[in-house]
Amino acid sequence: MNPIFYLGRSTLRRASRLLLIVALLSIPTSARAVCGFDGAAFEQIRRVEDREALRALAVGVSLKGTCAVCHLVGFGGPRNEYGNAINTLLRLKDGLRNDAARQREAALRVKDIPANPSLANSPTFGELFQQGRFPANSLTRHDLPLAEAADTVFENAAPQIAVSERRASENVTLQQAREMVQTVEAESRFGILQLSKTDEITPAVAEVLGEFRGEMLILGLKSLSPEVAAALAKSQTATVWLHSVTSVTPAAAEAIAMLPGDLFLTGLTELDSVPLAQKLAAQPGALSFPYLKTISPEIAAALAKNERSLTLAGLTDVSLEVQEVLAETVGAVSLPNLTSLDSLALSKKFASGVVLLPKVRKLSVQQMAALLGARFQGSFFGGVYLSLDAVTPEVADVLAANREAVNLTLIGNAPLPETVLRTLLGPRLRMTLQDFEELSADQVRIVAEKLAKKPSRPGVLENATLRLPNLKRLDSALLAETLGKATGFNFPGVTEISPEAAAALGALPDGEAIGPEMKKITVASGSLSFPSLQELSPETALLLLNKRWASISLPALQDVSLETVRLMANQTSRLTLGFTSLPSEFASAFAEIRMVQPMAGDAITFPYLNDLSPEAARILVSSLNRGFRDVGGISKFSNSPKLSFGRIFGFATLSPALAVELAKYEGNLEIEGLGELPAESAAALASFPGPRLSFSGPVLEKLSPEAAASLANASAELHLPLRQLDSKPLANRIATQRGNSMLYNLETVSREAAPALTQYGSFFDLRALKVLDSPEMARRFVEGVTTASSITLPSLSTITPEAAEVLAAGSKSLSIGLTVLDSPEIAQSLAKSRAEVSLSRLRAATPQVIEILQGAKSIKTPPLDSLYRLSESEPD
Amino acid sequence: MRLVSFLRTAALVIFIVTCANVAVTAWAEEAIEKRIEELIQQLGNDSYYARQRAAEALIKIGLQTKPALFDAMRSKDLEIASRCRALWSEVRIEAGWQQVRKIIGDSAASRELYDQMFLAAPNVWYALAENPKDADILFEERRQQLQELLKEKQAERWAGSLANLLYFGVRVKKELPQKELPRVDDLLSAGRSQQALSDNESLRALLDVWLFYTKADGAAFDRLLIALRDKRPLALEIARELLRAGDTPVKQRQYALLALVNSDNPDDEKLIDEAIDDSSTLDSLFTKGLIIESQLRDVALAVRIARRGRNPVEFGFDYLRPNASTTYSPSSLGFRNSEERNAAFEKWSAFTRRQHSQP
Repeated sequence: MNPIFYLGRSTLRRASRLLLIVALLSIPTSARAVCGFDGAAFEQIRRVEDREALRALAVGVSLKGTCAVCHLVGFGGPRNEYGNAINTLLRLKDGLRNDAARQREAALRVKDIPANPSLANSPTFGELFQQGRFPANSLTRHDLPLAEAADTVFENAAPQIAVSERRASENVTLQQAREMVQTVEAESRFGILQLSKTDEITPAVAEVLGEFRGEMLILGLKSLSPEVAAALAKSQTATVWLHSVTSVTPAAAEAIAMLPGDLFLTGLTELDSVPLAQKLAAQPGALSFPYLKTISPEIAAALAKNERSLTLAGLTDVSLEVQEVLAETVGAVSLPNLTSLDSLALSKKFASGVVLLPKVRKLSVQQMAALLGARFQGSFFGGVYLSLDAVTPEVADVLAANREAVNLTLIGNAPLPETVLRTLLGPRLRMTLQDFEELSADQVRIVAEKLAKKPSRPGVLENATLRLPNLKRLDSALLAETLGKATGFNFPGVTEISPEAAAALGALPDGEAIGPEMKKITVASGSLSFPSLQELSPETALLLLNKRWASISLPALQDVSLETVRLMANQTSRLTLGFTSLPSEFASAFAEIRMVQPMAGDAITFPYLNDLSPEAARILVSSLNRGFRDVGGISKFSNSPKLSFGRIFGFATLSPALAVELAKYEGNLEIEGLGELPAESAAALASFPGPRLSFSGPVLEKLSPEAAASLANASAELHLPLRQLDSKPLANRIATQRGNSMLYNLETVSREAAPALTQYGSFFDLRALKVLDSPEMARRFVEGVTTASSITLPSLSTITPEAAEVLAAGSKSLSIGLTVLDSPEIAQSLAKSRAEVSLSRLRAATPQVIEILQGAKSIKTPPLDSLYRLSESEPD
Repeated sequence: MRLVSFLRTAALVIFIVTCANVAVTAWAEEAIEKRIEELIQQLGNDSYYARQRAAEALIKIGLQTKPALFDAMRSKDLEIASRCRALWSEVRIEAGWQQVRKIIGDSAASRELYDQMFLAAPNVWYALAENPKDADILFEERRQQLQELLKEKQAERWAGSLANLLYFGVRVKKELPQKELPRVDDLLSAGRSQQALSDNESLRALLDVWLFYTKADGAAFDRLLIALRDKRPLALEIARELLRAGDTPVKQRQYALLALVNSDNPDDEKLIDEAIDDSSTLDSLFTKGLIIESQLRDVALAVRIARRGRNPVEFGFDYLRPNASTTYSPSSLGFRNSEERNAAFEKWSAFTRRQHSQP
């Protein structure tokens, strides 16, 4: 190949990687998922009541990322049982993933769904969260199997209540069903009707429920009689989800397969009916059966028709015939618990997605070569996950000879021969030894030697990489130095550090930079990050802190001495400590924190602090206050580091006394995960002198008018991404502030606040807006600057005719999330639009509206004959 | 007169002795030169063994062979010329070894270490053989070289380089500037240094020599920590010196006291006694929501208890944490309040009273 062409291509590749990295880094929290599911997971975690359980989950998320809550592996690829449930509620085709309100709703919906319906005493996803346990397994974690965890969950949750009593089915009478259908249709605007705690229903009740015309009917039936199936099959709802049905008789299968909408039976352990399989495969989203134990070739053929992806996590032994059929799957296919891979064709098929074969213990050279067919296996989302047992020297040779980069994860802790390790630590394999808790001395030598090499192809430096996420004890100085020098390495699982290893890390060289007058200067380097370390003795700390670190992050630290904290502050400008409380005696220990970039990175972060006395806050604030400096142009440039409290959760409330002390801080102040902000506390914060004041958490749902008015008076730049804005003074304040971060989350803006908010001069982007009843706001969308040439309001459920008129009169195209349209005035207004109007989520409309829509060339909707026709007088 | 006569006789004797000495030296030099010439000629002998014997003998003679070897490098006998060129390298290597062995001993393992030292910096050793350089310059050069190498992900011949640093450091001995000691400590702490030390007994022996020469310097506390970490007997000696010195900071004394846990020298009791009433605060440990304050007397008491073969936990040290280097983590040798502390001291007093009252 022409080297110049090659260089150009590799440069392009590197540039695109760089862009991807930049894009990922720009996501607010490093651990955030990019699919939109994180909103659901965070909502569920926030609702955990027990502080210890909450902390365990928050630490877990910070360690493994939000992706691992829903996915079987770290990033992308097939989902676990919980991810499958969330995906059912946030389907890509409906454009629901970016709807923050829908994400929160999904979290509430899956709360009552059993984590494994095939277990008699299965806890629900919500119960598992409440116990501080992630709701489903991921290869990146070592959770207790669900069957074993179930008893613990019940014991801890309510020891006095028998399991059978807790699981008692909630009966639904005919009358109750009727009322429920009416109420839910009206209140949810044709949303979701859920009866997850009802194990069985009569055919008559099923018939009534079938009259529900909303988006989804979620039922917790444990069995499906032909009669109930036949009644439900008449359902007018778009989707029926029966999450706890484990098997279906042929007659019931035949009946339910007639359902006009989409059907989900995620709890199936058996599936024998071809028509039912065909029906299940027909829905356009990802198809996943976590508990299905066996399938016939015919069923496999039917499921293989799904166009997106097929995950069969319950299958272990799969015949060659079925494997050959699954190789023909239209979309991606994944069998994460397969124990024997016999089909070469299936090997090739696996290569088109994330290769997840952690239980296959034997692979031939041909199979391995076939599994490495895809180019994206070295990308952020790609990867090859294999059992360590399968990696023979011959298989290792194939892996090492692959021309493309591969993210290789080896599962298990079987002995890893040195020759194999040496081969695998080649230039293009980014290897993770998932379950290794220690390395032998000889393995350490090999790792040190191979990781230090600098192999390169034209234009591409290809260092070998190694991750040891479960390394528990860091006791080798050589390994510490080797991994400490590896770019971006941290020690996620390490709970113990030997003095030798600590000394080696403390002896890592400082960084170099070009200083004033182009002279080389020494700067702090490296990140001292031990996310699982709970205890740090002063002696070990002394060795680790022999050098200056660019950042120190010890979010799990519970045991530490005052001298150690002082020393840490002395040796870095970015310090993260996982204290849950900060004693007054320790509050002054941060006074000597280094200052490198006070307004651009220097920070003291307490992600899990929920107990801070006013006295401790006073000492902390006064010890860190370093005044301001004039840099010209910027009104305030603080000399103090950013002070940050909380993350997913934080202070339940901010007491006025605490607020008074924090209000004296002269640097940026960030209070995340805040439960509530009393008016008196907000009044105290109005005098905050620092450059920026940020909040996140439940406090953002709504502020009292007094609190909002007080914050409106603050001189600091506010970062307060509220969901509901009722305050005119605060709207005024937001409108005059630079940056639009406070607009993203707004779901409702009162009529009083709206005119003030429209004065905002920069990009007017309110993607979460649910109600648009202000013509002024509509005009602002149409006439002012927005982030795109279109107006996108995917969460909008209510709009007034006046607002619709204004929107449609503009030249921008519209994308509106209305599910129900019963106002001819609104329809007529939208029909006048010259630009395109997309109503992709529309579910129901009156005949008159439908008539208007039929004649409107610019409006795009789902097929109009699929919409439910509301009677003209029917309330929405 | 007698004195004059004595002086004359003495002067005569001195003159004769000097002349004789000069004559003997000249004769000896002539003999060596002659021997060297003979040996060089034997380098062209038909017998392989004769050639080898001659080469070995020349190496043993050392740097004195230089002029003759250089002359012979131009010999018409190509065998002699080429052997002389090779021999000059060997001679210089040997010259280095003769110096190094005085410090690291002359066992086979020591020689192996020297070979590594040579291979890590051949030009230095070649140059050194001909033009002795000041050890401090050599030390400084080695230190800088190692610091640069440390920035690399991989460094070849680290053990040899580290041995060179220690060797030239030992040669400088007391003349080392204080600021050099922490820098060397950093280099010794590096993972590859620790690996090399664990792999190579001779290198460890050289480190002991280095620690011996630097133990009394200002950075004795750092030395103590390294010796404790590496479990070297030298730790006891440094600890005693630190405790005897009146101006040792209290935070250093705590580690010195802990070094005495494993000593069976009864004289050490006196050093511990001096700290048993010292209520200087050392540190505060924040553990599971509690704050534990440790004082020097707490450490002294725990050391005393441990030296008696008892576990300090039995006496009320409830927060005690073991530590690989210092037996106990000193900050864990504390109490929540004075009541807890007094109770521990009283329990110890009662214990010792019982011990004394027993026949």
